[in-house]
Amino acid sequence: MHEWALAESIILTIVNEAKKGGRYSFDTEVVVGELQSIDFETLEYALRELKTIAEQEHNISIKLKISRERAQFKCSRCGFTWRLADIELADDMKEAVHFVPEVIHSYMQCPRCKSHDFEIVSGRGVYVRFI
Amino acid sequence: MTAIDPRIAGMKRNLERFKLILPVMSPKGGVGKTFATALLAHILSRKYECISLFDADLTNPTLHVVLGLNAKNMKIIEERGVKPVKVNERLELMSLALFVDEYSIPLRGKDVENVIKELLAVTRWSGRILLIDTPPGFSDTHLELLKILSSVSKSLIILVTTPNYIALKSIERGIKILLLESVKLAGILGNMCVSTEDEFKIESMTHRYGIMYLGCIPYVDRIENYFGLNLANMLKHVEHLYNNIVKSIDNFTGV
Repeated sequence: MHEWALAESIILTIVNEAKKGGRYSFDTEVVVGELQSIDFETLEYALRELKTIAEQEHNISIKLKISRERAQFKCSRCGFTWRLADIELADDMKEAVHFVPEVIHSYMQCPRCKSHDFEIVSGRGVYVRFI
Repeated sequence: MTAIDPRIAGMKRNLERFKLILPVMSPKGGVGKTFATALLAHILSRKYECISLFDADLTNPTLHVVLGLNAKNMKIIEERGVKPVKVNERLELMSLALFVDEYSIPLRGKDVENVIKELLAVTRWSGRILLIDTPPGFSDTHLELLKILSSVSKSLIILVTTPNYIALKSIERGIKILLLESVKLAGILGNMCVSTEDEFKIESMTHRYGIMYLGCIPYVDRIENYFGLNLANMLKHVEHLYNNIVKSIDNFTGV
């Protein structure tokens, strides 16, 4: 239920924006990075539940759109770029990456030069865009 | 369109439950921060119900080893976030070792920042006091923690040093920069002291900066013999630390 913690942080972020004052309606996009392998159904359910509570408690209106972002990597040693789909990860590694995406540095190497020193260019985790 | 990191709100909510946050720091490596952190947790657990521990030595987490845990046996438990690993009835730990077992974790600055935020945003602590073991130096981890902790304003840094000349020079550098930033210090904890002369070296340095001297953990041969359950055997050698540390905390929290 890690998705619940993420959903709570997302709604809390919107509530904090509302508390700053002057805004009662929030049109937001929740961008979910591929690397974190978030369970969309659980996240959507948690967001729906928490959104209803926040709207009632704080007298605000929240519109939520969830979108995915592909994970892409760039080697800091040789400059090679690749996608998550280009490599294979064991299930236990996937689970660890789900909680802390940066541990991918322990489990994945640049497909070209075998370095662990690479940048997660996109699709790392979750962020919120206010539209 | 503005992009906002939702972890910031989650982190703040999770840290607000703590009465006090105690990062354990030293600019010099090898002074025994991790052992001191584990020992402090045991000392503080005599007064406070549950002590939470966070291993912020991200690229080489070892606090679980000192606490007697085997990374292979540590299981991720989800409950509206991630639950820290129970060390005993009064201690709990969150460490990256929970996710990488015995692998090394090569991380650059931005990754360090992300790991700290991620773990602090999803961990569901039970304790009221949080002890943070940090890596040596004064770099990304320390700067990120100081940034995060400045927004919850209930942290007191414990500095650790040995009586070694280089360690004392290094800790003085650390003190100067922290005092310039008006960061609150609980005091300085000595480690590996073999004589009263050693203790005097550390104590006199603390007086020069008007910082509390918390006492010294004596030097012990084969420190690994004190890891895990045997850590409790060390407590009788550090009885003097208890009063000083509790006094420093009480002064800060106004008890």
